[in-house]
Amino acid sequence: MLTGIAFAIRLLIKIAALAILAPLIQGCIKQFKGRLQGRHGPRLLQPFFDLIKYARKEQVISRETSWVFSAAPLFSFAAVLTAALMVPWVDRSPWPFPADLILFVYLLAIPRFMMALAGLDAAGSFGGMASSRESAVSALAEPVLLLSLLTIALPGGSLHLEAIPVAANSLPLAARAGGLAAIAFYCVVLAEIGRIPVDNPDTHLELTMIHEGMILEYSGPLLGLLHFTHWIKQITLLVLLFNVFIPIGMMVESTGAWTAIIFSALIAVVTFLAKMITAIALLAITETWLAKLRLFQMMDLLGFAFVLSITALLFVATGV
Amino acid sequence: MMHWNDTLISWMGAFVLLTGFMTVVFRRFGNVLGCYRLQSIGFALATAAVGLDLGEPHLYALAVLSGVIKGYLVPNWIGGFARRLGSRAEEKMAVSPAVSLFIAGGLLLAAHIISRTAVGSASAKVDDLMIALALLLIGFFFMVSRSHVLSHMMGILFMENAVTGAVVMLSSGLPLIVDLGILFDVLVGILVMSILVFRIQGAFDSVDTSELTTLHG
Repeated sequence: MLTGIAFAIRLLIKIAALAILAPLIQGCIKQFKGRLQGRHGPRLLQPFFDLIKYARKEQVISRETSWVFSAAPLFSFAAVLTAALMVPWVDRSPWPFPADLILFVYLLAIPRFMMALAGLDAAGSFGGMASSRESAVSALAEPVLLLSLLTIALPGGSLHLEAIPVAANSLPLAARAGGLAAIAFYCVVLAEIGRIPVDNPDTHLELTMIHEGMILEYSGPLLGLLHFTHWIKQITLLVLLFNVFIPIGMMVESTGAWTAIIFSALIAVVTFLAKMITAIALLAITETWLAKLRLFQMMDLLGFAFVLSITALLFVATGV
Repeated sequence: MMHWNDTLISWMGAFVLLTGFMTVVFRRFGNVLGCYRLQSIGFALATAAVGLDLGEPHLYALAVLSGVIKGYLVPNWIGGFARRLGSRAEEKMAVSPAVSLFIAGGLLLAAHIISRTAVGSASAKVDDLMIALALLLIGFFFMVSRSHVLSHMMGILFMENAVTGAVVMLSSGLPLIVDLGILFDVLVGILVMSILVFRIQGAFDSVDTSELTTLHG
C-alpha cells in the first residue's frame, strides 16, 4: 500500500501523463483514420492547438441558462479525472481508497447526468434531443459495462480495479468468458466515447448527433474543458479494456534490486505504449469499416453486448 | 495449464456462439450469410483442433472439406440465389432484433439447463454440448422468426452446422464416409430447396412466406 508522499508523486505523474496522452491519442486516431480513408488527416498535435484556441476564446453563455450550465463541465471533469486516476496504467499497486469498479462505473455516470441536464438547460431543441438520446444509450450501456467487468472480477473475488489483473492471473482473453466479455466491453466503449456505430464524432449540426448535441451551446474555455474531459474518458476506457483483458507486461510490486525495478518499469511502459497503439488502430479501423447505425438500431448493438456479457457471466459461473 | 489447441477449441466454441447471436440481430440477408460463413469457418477450425487433439487425420480432411464447402461454396451459392430473387434490403421479422436477442439468450439458458441434466455438470464436454444445443435452438428460432424463404433455408443450415459441430466436439467425429455423406446431403438439400424457392417465386411473384395464404394453380 502506497501512502503519503509517494502516492502524491505517483498521482501527479499520472495527471501529467493524462494531460499529454489524452489529446495525443485523439490526434493519433484522427490522423490514422484520415490515412485509412485516403486523406492526409489533421496533425498529430492538432488537439493541443485546439485546446489552446478554446482557452483563448471568449466565453458566451446564454442568458436563459442557470448555474447548472456552467457547473456541469466542472462536475464532469472532476468525476472523469477521478475515474481516470483509479484505473491502473503500468503498475498494479493498490489505490489507497476504497475504489472499486462499481464506483468507477458510477463516476462515469456523473458526467452523463450533468451533461444531460446541461443539454436541457440551454433549452435548445438539439440539446434536449441529444440529452434524451444520451440517457437512452447510457441506460443500455451501463449494465454491460458493469457486467463485463464483473465477469473478469468474479473469479478473483475482488472488485478493485487494480486487483482484477492480479486475480485473473493469466490472460482472461484466452478463456471463453474473457473473449466474449471483451467484445461486449468494446461495444460499450464505442458507445461511451461516441464512436461511429453509435455516434459520429466528426459531424456537427446533424440530426443524429448525441455528444456534440449536448455541448452545442458551449463556447470558449468550457468547450475546451468538455473536449478534454471526453478525451480523458476515451483513454481511460481504452486503458481499462487492454489492462483488464490483456494484463500482460504490467509492473508487479517488486522488492528486488533497483535495476530490476527499473527494467520491469521500462517493460511496463513499452507494453503500455504498444497497447495504446493497438487501441488507436482498432478504433480507427472500426470507424472506417462500419457505418453509423440508425438511432433505433443502437438497441440491437447494445442488446447484443448485453447478451454477450450475460453469456460470459454464465461461463464464469459454471467455471470454464 | 491449457494446451494451445484446447484454447483454440474453447475460443471457437465462443466464436460460433457469437456468430449465432449475430444472426438473430442482422436484418440484411447479406450479413446473415456472412455470419454463416464465419460460423462454418469457426466450426472447421474447431474440427481441425479436435483432430490435432485426438490425432485423428480424418478430421483434418473433414475440416478442410467443410471449410471449403460450407465456408465458401454454399454461401456464394445462396448469395447468388438472393441476387436472382432480388430480395429487398431488410426483411420482415416477427419480433424486433433486440427481442430476438433476449429470446436467443433465453434459449442459451435453456440449453444450459438441458445439457447439465443430460450429461451432468461433472463432464468436461458439458459446455460444448450447451453451445451446440444453443446454436441448434437459435437456428430454429431464426427460421421461425423470419418470413423470407431463403432465411428458412439458412435456418436449416444453421441447425445442420450445430448438429455436425456437436458430433465433432463431443465425440471424435463419425467415420469419414458418414461425414462426407452429411456434407453431400447439405448440397443436395440446398439444390432441392432452391428448386422449391424458384417455384414459389414463379407461382407467387414473392418469396415472402407470410404472403403464401391463397392457393395458386
